[in-house]
Amino acid sequence: MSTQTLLSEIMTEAKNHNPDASSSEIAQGIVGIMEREILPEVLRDVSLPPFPSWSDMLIEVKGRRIRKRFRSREILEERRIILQQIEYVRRGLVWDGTDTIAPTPHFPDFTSVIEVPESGKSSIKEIPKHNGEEAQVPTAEIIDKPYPTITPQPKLKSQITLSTEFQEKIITEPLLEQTFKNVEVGIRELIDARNLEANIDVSFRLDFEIPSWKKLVINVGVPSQVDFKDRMNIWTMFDLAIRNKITSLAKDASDDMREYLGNLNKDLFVHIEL
Amino acid sequence: MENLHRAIKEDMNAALEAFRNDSFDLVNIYANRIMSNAVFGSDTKIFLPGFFLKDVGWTFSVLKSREKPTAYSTAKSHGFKFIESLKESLSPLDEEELWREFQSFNDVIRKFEMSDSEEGSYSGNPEFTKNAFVWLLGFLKDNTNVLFDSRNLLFKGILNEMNRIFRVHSGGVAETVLMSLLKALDRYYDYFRRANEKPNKRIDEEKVKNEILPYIDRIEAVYMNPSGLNLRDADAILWDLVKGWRWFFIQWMELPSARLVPEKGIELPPELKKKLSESITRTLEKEI
Repeated sequence: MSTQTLLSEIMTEAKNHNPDASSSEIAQGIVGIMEREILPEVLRDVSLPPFPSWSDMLIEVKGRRIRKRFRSREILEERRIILQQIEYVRRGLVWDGTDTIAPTPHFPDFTSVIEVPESGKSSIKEIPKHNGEEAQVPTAEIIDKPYPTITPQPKLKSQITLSTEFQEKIITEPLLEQTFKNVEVGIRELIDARNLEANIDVSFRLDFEIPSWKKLVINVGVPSQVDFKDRMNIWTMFDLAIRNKITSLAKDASDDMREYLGNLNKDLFVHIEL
Repeated sequence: MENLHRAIKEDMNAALEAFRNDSFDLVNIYANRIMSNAVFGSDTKIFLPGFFLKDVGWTFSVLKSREKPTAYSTAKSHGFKFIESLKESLSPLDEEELWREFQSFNDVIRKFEMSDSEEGSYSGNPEFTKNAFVWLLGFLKDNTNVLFDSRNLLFKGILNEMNRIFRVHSGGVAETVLMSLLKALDRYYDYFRRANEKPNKRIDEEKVKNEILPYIDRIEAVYMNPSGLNLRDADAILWDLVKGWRWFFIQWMELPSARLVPEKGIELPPELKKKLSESITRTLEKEI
């Protein structure tokens, strides 16, 4: 079926399904559907050819410089840009194209990813606005305060539970509260991005060998069928996510806060049952 | 009334358990239950923990359901502490202490409700909150004629502003009390408007004048009292409103919620979406 026929079919169907909509509403609606529903699917499903190797790229550059007849190879550079842009959007969709749960490999090439120009950026992940302010969008129905009818929400696949002792510490130590608030967001972002099923328990534990040392243990519980390799990957991901949050907090922190974060980082352990 | 206290204490236990399990819809139900049970007795303060608990359930259900991850397990540490204090406060009930705890809970939780950009930008400005609340109360007084129209959302609009201002700028006990009184009045008015709506979408004006406007005057008198906030007066208004609201519930049961329904866009049949997606994928694969 040609594109033209498909387009006509879409227009006709859209008109049939939305008899009261004007042509411009239908056009805007189709663009919206493309952005919200079709393109994310396409970007997930499209199989990308291998990334052009650096040696091929070098040949192309040399060819440009030395002989005009190598110009046809400039196609490699274009392909590289397209592939990088698709990867860029995929990353924006919090999906890196892999089906494994291993951490995203940090390709040296990512440092040279070409930023998609502002005008070309997808609006798929745009944050909705309300009166010009960023809207905090609940996934459930939106019911305005103060007339709440709380709808039961689906049980989350992952839970984060803090021990009573840790909760008491959070309430009384503002620095710990501020730090763990960020760590928790980091953990949840990772769970969401990887669609993980994990029960996280946070508690203090005494060290067996040095009983005076109270460690902060973040225990990651995963379903029993997850094998050893995947458990190791999950552990790596959580450990990285948590420590990255602490490191980023330390960046602009005062000396006292930096010292506090440094100590916390030493006392913090991420566990997973192997 | 010993058995009432026991019933409410058990409601509180159930609420705490529901809170532990993140069942905030149940927390809301148990909170309503406490307020309903309070109506059956003569203790005019015992409803207060239920009133505060309802807010806790709502706050956490919003935090949990946000699309962007929030630190709601960390926030729950404060929730547990507050619910425990509500439970312990039942006998004897110290209303001043309860309001202080409620204000302090709100002040802590608001920081979890802020977006990253808000958190990094606002440092707390309770004086501004006070001024804005005085202005909003004046606005409410000047626009009471809107309350005759059954479609109006005046109380919700005022509360929407107050919630936003409190969330980013903080506020004191007086502001917490004012918001609570208006919230209770709004819940009451939602039933009142249904009970008194005329076929022309207007609400019986005499009834509004006799039953709603006096509440606004009483609320204003509490907040603007030159000699300071009198919590006993505030609690008396709150009790009248909560009692009326629970009576209405017995008569009308659950009301349909005022909710923002997401704009319904253009619809395409799923098969066509699939076809479109496949066609674009094929073209893209050919291109690269």
